[in-house]
Order: sequence, then C-alpha cells, then structure tokens
Amino acid sequence: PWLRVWMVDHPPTEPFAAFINVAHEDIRTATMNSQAWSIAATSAGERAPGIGLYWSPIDPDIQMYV
Amino acid sequence: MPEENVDVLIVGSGHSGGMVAKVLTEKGISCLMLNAGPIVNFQKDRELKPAYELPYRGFNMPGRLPHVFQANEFNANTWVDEKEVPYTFNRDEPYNWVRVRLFGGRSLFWARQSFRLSDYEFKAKDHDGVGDNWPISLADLAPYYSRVEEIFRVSGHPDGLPQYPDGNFVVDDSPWSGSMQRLIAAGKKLDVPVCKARSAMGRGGLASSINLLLPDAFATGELTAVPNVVVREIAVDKNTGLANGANFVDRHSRREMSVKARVVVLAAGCLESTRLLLNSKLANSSGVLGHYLIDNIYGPGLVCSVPEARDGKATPELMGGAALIPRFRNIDSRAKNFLGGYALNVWSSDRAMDARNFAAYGAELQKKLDSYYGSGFYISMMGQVLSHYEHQVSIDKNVVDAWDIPVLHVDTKYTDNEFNMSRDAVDTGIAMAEAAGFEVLAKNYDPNPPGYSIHELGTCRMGDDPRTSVLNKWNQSHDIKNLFVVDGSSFVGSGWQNPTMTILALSMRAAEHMAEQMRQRNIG
Repeated sequence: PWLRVWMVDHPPTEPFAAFINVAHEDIRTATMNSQAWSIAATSAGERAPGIGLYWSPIDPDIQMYV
Repeated sequence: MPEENVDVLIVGSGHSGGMVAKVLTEKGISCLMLNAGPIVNFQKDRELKPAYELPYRGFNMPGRLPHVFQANEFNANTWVDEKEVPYTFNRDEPYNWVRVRLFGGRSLFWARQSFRLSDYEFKAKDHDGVGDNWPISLADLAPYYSRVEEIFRVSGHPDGLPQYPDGNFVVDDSPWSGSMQRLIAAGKKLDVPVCKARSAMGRGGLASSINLLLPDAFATGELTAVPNVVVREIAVDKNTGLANGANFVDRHSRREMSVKARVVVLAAGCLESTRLLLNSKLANSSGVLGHYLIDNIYGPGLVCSVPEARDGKATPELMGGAALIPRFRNIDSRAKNFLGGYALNVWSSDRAMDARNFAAYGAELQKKLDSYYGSGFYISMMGQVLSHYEHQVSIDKNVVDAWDIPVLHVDTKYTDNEFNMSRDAVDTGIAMAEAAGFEVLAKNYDPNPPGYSIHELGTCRMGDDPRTSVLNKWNQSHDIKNLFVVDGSSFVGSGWQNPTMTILALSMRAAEHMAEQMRQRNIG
C-alpha cells in the first residue's frame, strides 16, 4: 500500500512510503548493478547496465585524505 | 613568503576567468591565473568501469556529498567535498552548493544550454514592477553574445521571440519527431510557444574554458597558470586603497605565498568570489555585498508516455529530440499569483523508462517497464527566482575550511512566488501533455533546494548607484577601481535562462573595458 509513483530527488514524504519506495529503488539498482546481472545481460545479447565513466581521486589533498 | 609581480591576477579558471585571460593576453597584457584545484588529465583520471567494481557498487558513500544531488559514485571525486570546504546554513533551509575546483571549474561539466537574457530580464523592474533593472540592456550585450556564441558554436533556430532573443547560431533545421509535433500543436491551442533548444556544441565533446578559451591565452605566451593554490585574501595598498595582489596558500604543502598585481580579477564563481571579498573586508561600502542571492528553480516537472510508442512501436520518426518552451507567462498579460517567468525543457526518449514511474513490484513492474519502453516524454522547469535583500551569504566566523579560511553561511529560501510559479509550470505541462494525447505518469511540484541548479548569482550585483550596488556596469568595483568581479555574482536578476552565455559575454565586455582602461593608465 505504500508504493508510490515519484520523481527523482522527490521520494514520498510519508515516512513509511519514503522507506518502502527508496528501499525498492535501491534494491533494484543494486541488483542491476551486480556482476551477475551484467553477465546475464551480456549473455542474452543485451547491453549491461551500470557501466559508467569513473573519475579517480584527482590529486587529493594529502592532509584530508591520507 | 615569496613574492611575484604581474599585470593582472585572475582568480579562477572557469568560463569567466578563461574569457578574461583570452581577451587580455591577446591584447598583450600578461596575466597570472590562480586556481584552487588540480589540473585534470582526461586519459589518466577517468575510465569506463562497471558499478560492481566500485566500493559502493554505484551508490555514493554514505554521508559524502549530501548536498550534491548530482553526485554518484562514478563522479564523486569531481565535486568539492563539504568536509574540506564546509559551508553552513539554517537547519530548516538547506542550500545545495555544488562546486568544482578542478582547473577549468564547472565549465568542464555544464549542461551547455545556451541562452541570451532578454530585456524582460535586463529591464525587469520596468516590466514587472519589482526587483531592479540592470544598468545595461540586451543591445549593450548583444555584440558580445554574438562573439561568444561563435566561439562556443551554439546550435539553435531563430524564432523571432523577444523573450527568447535569437543569436549567432549554427542553425538547427533538423525535423521534429512526431511526438514533438504533437506537443507543438498542443502549445498552439494553449498559446504556448515550443521552440528548438539552444546548446553549445563546443569542440571535441567539450565546451569548456580549457579547450575553447585558455589555449588561445596560453598561445600568446602571456598567461601563467598555477593550480592547487587557495586564495586567502585580496591585498590592498594602504596608501591608495587600491588592490595590489593576493595572499594565497599551497593546497598541499600549506606554504603561504603572495603576489603583487596591477589589476585583480575575481572569477572564482559567484559565492567563492563573494566569500573572498567578505573575508578581505573589501568592496562593500554599499552594504549589499553578499545580499540578493538568487539562482534558478529546478526540480518541478512531469513524466509522460506517448501511447502510440508503447509495446515496441516506438520509431525514430515518432520519438526523440528536444525542445525549449521559453517564458510565456507575464509577457503580455499577468499571471494570477506570481511575477517573472519560467521555461520548460522538453525531451522525448526511445529508451527504457524508470521504475519509479510505476507503483508496482516484481513481474507486474517488469511487464509495465517492457510495455512502456521507448515511450517516455519528459517536461521539466527552469524558473526565475526573485531577488530579496535578506537572501544572503555572510562569513561564519566559527567554521574554517582545510586551510583555516572562514567559510560562508548561506541564508536563503524560496518564497511563495517560486512555489506558485512551480505549480503553474507543472499544471501547464500537464495540460499540454494531455492536449497532445500523452499519458501523465508522474509529476512533482516541489523545487529542489536553492543552489541545486548550480546557477548561484547576484551577491556582487552591478548597478549605476554605488550606494546600492557592488559593481558598476563594467563589472568593476565601485570602491576599488582596479578590482573586477566577472562571474555570475554581478547579476541583478536571474531570469529563467542558464546564465553561462551571459557570464561569458559580460566577462568579455569587462575584459575589453579593463584593457582599454589599462592602456589609458586609468587603472593599474
């Protein structure tokens, strides 16, 4: 009953609905970002989701990060 | 503390600093550019990776970058970390200050929407009866816009609308997709214009200072750039009252240094330039430095589906493309409960839709995702924020950054005008979508927190009266003639437009004035 339609950055405001909807979204994202999903998608001839341009730490400040 | 002497010191390397460097060095004036962060190596610093190889599997590290909604685990290392450079705000009035300190600044990542302001914005007080007029008009800035548009290769279509001024475009005559044609027809019924979007194509996939402006400056041999130095304060000659350089600190070694300069240009971004002036206790005889903080409203919008594109029937002729609905409220008539205007970004997609658009689990959800695949049609708002004196930034003396520099306290919020405008934008989008025969799946009336648009503006506003403005119409301090502020802080009003083209045009104009004043020995 707490599942809602919502737009990015604006989950439902009721606490239970917020938890259910954000948890649902996170579980889906974690699943689709998994290696198992990637292998299955590639095997099926589909493009694997969850691939992106990753930025390494760029000359991080030594006093903050060491 | 080693000391150097230069003609012009430029603080910041983004679009505005890059433009000033290009203009001045091409006139033979030597410049030193200081930037708070490192130089990016696009080959070494980034690579394609699957999320499952990242420590948090594509989710951001908990607690990191809580006010950068744009952050994810892939790009987290490009944003300024709030722990390194904090800022404060009132508990119930969050502010999203989204910052980049890499060399080139936010010009590396902007969305490239490229608009001119119109006289509905430059002369807002005359038209709307509130706020203030700029000390310049579109006619003053139009020649500079044209030159900037040529450098940035702005694609667009001339539409002849005074609220959406035409420019020096790479003309976009591409055909509209069927879904866009239906929205255009719906707009005609509601008297809402639907136009081609306008966007900087840049070169080589980049429309940044580092590829479009700074190479020309370096080629003259007149520009020296120093990365990884954080400017602590602007220095002033006690005898003349003029700026004479800056004190800064090496980001890594904490070594303190200083430089002497004939002219100082701040181009560190609206709030960093303002913070620097506040910490330096300069350029504020008017008392308005830090006040009138504005930006653009982002967040309200809707997600629709084009029924004829569902169940595998999407075609390139039906789906795809983007449009821009320029301001149409408060032009010839008055909106009932808000002043100013907004625009709507529109795009049509033949890709997968997001699961958030369907309140369903498991197999039922997958069935919907399969059915709606390739039918998405999206409308989102870009809205004007009204200027208020009490919306301000100040120095928080109790908090310092990693280099012991006092940080900013941000005190702002949206008011009924912004909330009412947002509601009108979404309701208008729904009316247009329904008139076009689209199914509305999701809608959101709530703006993202102030700052989210990354369009912070207005805290060193320009004006003709030194009692009510920080800068004159040439982006020059009323108080200190050899001090210029060329980023978005000079804006008098926000309009609905992405401000980048205006920042670039103003900084080009300011730099040419600066060079002429230097040649005549009026400054420096």
